[in-house]
Amino acid sequence: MFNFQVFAANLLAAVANTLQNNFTTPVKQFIEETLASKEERLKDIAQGVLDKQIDLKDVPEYAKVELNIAEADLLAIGILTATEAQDVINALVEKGTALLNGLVPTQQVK
Amino acid sequence: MKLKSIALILPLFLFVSCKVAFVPAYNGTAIELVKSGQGLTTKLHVEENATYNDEQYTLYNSYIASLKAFDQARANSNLLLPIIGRYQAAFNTLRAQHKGKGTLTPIELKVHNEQLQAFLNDLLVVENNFKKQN
Repeated sequence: MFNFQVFAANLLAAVANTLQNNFTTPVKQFIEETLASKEERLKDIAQGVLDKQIDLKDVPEYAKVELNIAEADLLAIGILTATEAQDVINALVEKGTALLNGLVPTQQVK
Repeated sequence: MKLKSIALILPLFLFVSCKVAFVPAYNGTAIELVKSGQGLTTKLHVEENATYNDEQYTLYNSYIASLKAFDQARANSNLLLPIIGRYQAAFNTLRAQHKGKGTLTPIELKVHNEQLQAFLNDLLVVENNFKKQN
C-alpha cells in the first residue's frame, strides 16, 4: 500500500542529506528555509492526496517541479561554483528519480 | 600636430572607457519586476481561475518572457537565467497539468501557487545578494 507521507519524508530526507553532505555553515540558513518551505508544500500535497483533492497520478509531476525548485534553490546560492552546483543537482536528480520510480500511480492511498 | 594626436587618441580613449565600464548587477527595477511576478502568480491561482483559462496562462508566460529578456541584458545574467529556465520549465509542467485536468481543486491551486512562488523567492535571494554586493 502506498503511503504518501512516507514518500514525502523520504524525498525530504534525500534532499536534506544531499545538501548537508555538500555544504557547511555559510549556506545553512538558506538550506533550512528552503527545506522548511519544501516541507510545507509536501505536507499540502500529502494532505491533498489524503483528502482526495489531489489525484495520486499527479504526484510525480509535483515531485518533478520540486526537484526543479531544488535546482533553482541551489543556483540561488551565489557562492557555489558551477561544478559544485552541478554535482549537487546530479545527486538530487538521481535520488529524486530513484524515489519517483518507487511510486506506482495505480496504488491507492490507505 | 598636437591637435591631430588628440583627435586620434580621444575616440580611442572613449572606446576603451566604454569597454571597461562597470555595470552593477544590482538593479532596483529587477526587484520590482520579481515582486510584480509574485502578485501575478497569486492572481493566476485565485479560485476564479480554477477552471483552465488559456488567456491568463498566456499573460503569465509573457511575464516570464519579459523577465528573461530583462535579465539577459544584465551583468551576472549567468546566475539568473538558469533559475528562470527552471521556472519556465515548471510553469510549462503546471500549465499542461491544469489544461489536462480542466479544473483544479483549492489545494491544487495552492500547491501550484506555492511552487511557482518558490522560483520567485530564489530570484529575490539572488537580487538581494546583488544589493549587498553593491
